[in-house]
Amino acid sequence: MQNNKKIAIIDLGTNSLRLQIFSLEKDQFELVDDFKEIIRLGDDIFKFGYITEDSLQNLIENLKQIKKICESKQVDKIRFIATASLRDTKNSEEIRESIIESLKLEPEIISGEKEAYFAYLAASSNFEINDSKVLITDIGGGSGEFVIVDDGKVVFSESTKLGCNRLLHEYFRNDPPLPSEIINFKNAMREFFTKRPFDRSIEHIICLGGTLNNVASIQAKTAVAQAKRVKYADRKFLKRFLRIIANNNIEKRKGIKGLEPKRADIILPASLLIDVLLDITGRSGFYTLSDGLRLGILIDTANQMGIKLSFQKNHENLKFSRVYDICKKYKGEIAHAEQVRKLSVILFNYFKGVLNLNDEFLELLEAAALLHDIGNHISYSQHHKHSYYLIINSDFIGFSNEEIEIIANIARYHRKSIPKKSHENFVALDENSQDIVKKLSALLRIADSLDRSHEQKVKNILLKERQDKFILTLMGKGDLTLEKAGVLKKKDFLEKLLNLEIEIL
Amino acid sequence: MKNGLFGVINIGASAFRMQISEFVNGEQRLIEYLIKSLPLGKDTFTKGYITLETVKKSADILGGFQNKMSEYKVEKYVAVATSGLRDAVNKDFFIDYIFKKTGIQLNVLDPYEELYIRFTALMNEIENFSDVEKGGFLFANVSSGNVAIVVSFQKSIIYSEALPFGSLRLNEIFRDVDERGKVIAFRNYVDNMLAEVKRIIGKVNIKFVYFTGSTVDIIRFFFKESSTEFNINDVRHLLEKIEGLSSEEIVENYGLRRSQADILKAVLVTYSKIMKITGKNKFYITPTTFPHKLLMYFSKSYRKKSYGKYIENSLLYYGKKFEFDKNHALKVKENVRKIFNELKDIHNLPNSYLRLLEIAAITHDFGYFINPSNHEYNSYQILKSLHLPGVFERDMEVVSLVVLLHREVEVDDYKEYFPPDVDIFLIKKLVAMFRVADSLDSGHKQKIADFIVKKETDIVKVVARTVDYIFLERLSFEKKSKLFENVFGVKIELEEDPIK
Repeated sequence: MQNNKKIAIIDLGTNSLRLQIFSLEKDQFELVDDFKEIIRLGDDIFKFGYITEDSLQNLIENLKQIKKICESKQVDKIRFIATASLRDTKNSEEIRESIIESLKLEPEIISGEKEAYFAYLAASSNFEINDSKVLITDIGGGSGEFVIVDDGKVVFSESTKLGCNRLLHEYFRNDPPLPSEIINFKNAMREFFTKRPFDRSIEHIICLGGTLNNVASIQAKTAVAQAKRVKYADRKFLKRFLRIIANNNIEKRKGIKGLEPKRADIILPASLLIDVLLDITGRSGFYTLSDGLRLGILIDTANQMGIKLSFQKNHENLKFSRVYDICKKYKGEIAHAEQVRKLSVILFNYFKGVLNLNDEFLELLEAAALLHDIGNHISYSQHHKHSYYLIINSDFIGFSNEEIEIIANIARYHRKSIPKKSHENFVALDENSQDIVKKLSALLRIADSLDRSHEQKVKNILLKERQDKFILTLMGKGDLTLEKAGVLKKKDFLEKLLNLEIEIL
Repeated sequence: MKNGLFGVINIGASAFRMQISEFVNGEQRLIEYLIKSLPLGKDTFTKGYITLETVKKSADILGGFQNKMSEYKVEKYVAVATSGLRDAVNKDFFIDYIFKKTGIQLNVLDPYEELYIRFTALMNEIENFSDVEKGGFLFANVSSGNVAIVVSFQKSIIYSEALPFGSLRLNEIFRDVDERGKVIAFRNYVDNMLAEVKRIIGKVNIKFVYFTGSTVDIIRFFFKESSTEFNINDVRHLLEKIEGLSSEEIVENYGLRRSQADILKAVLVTYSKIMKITGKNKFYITPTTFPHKLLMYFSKSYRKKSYGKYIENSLLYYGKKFEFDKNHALKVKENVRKIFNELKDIHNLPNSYLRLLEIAAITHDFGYFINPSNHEYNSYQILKSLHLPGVFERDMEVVSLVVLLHREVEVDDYKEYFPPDVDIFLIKKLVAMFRVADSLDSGHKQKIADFIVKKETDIVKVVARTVDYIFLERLSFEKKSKLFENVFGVKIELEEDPIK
């Protein structure tokens, strides 16, 4: 990448010290380096009210390493943010001065409200939050931020003391916890939340913060799913998970696959807290956004530098603006992609009744249509398989992991083989998703064939049903031989699903 | 090649060919050349499999070839098949049947191996190749099944693909289209297939164009039989003349074989479209047949084999596509070379593995482009799909495993990625050396300008000549050298020797 800027975000939380280096080019950003050390300043703060000399020395040593990394990576700008870690400690000023003196690096101690704002920025860059009511939480070690966004507007924002490290020290003395401790804790949370506008009108819950992200990671089975910035955890899983952690001591919890050992204790209050929140709001699960706070800080930093990021410019349709970004990243042929999308929509609207497809599936087909050829960036041969792989590994906005799997599968089947039970990617889907993939890929195959020449010759198509067949009429400019031959070759799969012949005119 | 007889059998999509040559003091002399027409590809490209009738006919032809070889007392031979057999679902049955009936063991060439053989032939057969390779050239193998295209620019392969639009296949795709419509359909289809190479050619200047493959016989038939140089305008004029004719009329008017008349339009369209994207009029055909090329290749008689630089240049070109850090890649390559060469008595591996480690060095961070987290897995996926003439599938498997495991992970946790016949201990050795080499430039800043390797009892010391304070390198070396100690049973340490 050229003409780009490297921005380092240092985030000193009560639980961990993180450094993330982002590369910023025009209005796009990308995470390029990531370092993390769990330092748990919170243990001091909640026990003594201040950070001890030993912890300070440990912190400074770690910060020295981080500074060296920044120098070594030649970053253009460092933004060093401290949250509840320094906000809530009695010797905050002393710590701040020690850091400046030994490192020539000044931490910006931000207020809880600012933290809540960063959480909002991060969530808005990764979710469509303009047309629903969303509760965004950032459960850190020392504080918990809560923001409610309704139709794109912030209607509630509060920074609370509900950090999981703090809650652990306040409510739990036994390991494993006593049932009474759990009941007390849940009651306290319930009382706290019901005083706030956290009710059943909330449509989605988005959680920032590493501990709840870890919960969602444990539910995600594959490495690819775990690496996703956005994950989803459902309440059924959470219930099962809570039973396990509540009945086991901290040492035993460390053996749970995927659980970060240094979070083995604080994962209990964090999971209980979100469980109460799900109960009150009646939601069946929650989204997590990893690196949320740092993402928010990055967006804010870019904005301070006078740069508006692509998602901030395109509020109309965030979901598809990211799909376009992905298409551009892999040098996709936009004109062909858009033509296939356009034709897919026509086919979908015509066949949705016969194929029993809900309107909500159209977006999946559209995204697959835009991305079906991105695999060409790797290699033309087998490009449908490369498209599948690249889609699975891309970060989308507003599509769930299940939906991304479906989009990737539709793109996978746009040429050559149709879905088969012997294909690993296909059998990994549940039965319902398999059915959607079959139907939508059958439509995409036709839409893609209708632009076989990649010259957008087909201007429109007409579909009619005659007794025992469908008639597809191509309307366009120039010679359409290639398009016709393409449809002839690819129509069999749709014919099989419809159980009727398709004739081309 | 030692003195004696050497035979080659080639099963193509439209004919079976055999050549027997005698080698005397390094010189090759043709003894026998046989060609039997049998359109295996017609079955494969229309039905997807080879019919039993064709299998039996094939066995008869090959039985005849076998007898011929016995007559001449040919002891060494190879029998290879290309796309006609390669793409048939029942190819294993075919191979087994032929072996039982004739004793001939067939090998199926993968398209990139075939391309490599043809490319090596080109390097050896073109007299002024050293001038040609300095600029840009396009090399197309137009056969019945596939069209394989290589674009080379300044000794670097910038495009290499085997595309599924060989003449017989093209004909079969548009079987139902009428004669005039066929040419239009071929044109559009070929344009579409050539879209990517056209984009790539737009950036370079192509000076020479070479064609090989079974279709060159048709070009020779119509134009100057003995020449190697042709003009595409002649091809275009011929296409205009025959566009509306049926195969029967072509046979009648021009005396071409029926099987060749069937694919004539597809061949002419393909040649003229490929020439169009190069912007050239002149093209060349190499004088020898494919069986001859196979014979020279398998008997190890080609002299020019300096292909290594091509592979490196090409990988660097691909690296640009994935926005890789070239300086880091080359530094790791230099490091791994040194470690491999200095520690030969510790690892006991043949030199051929060094080449694979070097390929891994250039490519190991390609996956960063897709996603920095999990980048080793992304690089692995990219490598699995990278086709370069001269790097065979088996080698690529080893390279992609080294790349997959280049970060600090437990090799044993990745057993599911190992093909059954790959030796896990071999991979561990390669990965152990690679990790050390990579760690020495982990900051991507080339702070270690050079290093020497000192071997002492039970310890290897890497003494680094540093141009700056190394922090990341030391941190990474500590983590990444653990596997080295486990695999080779010796400690490895990093010492600094700053350059003042």
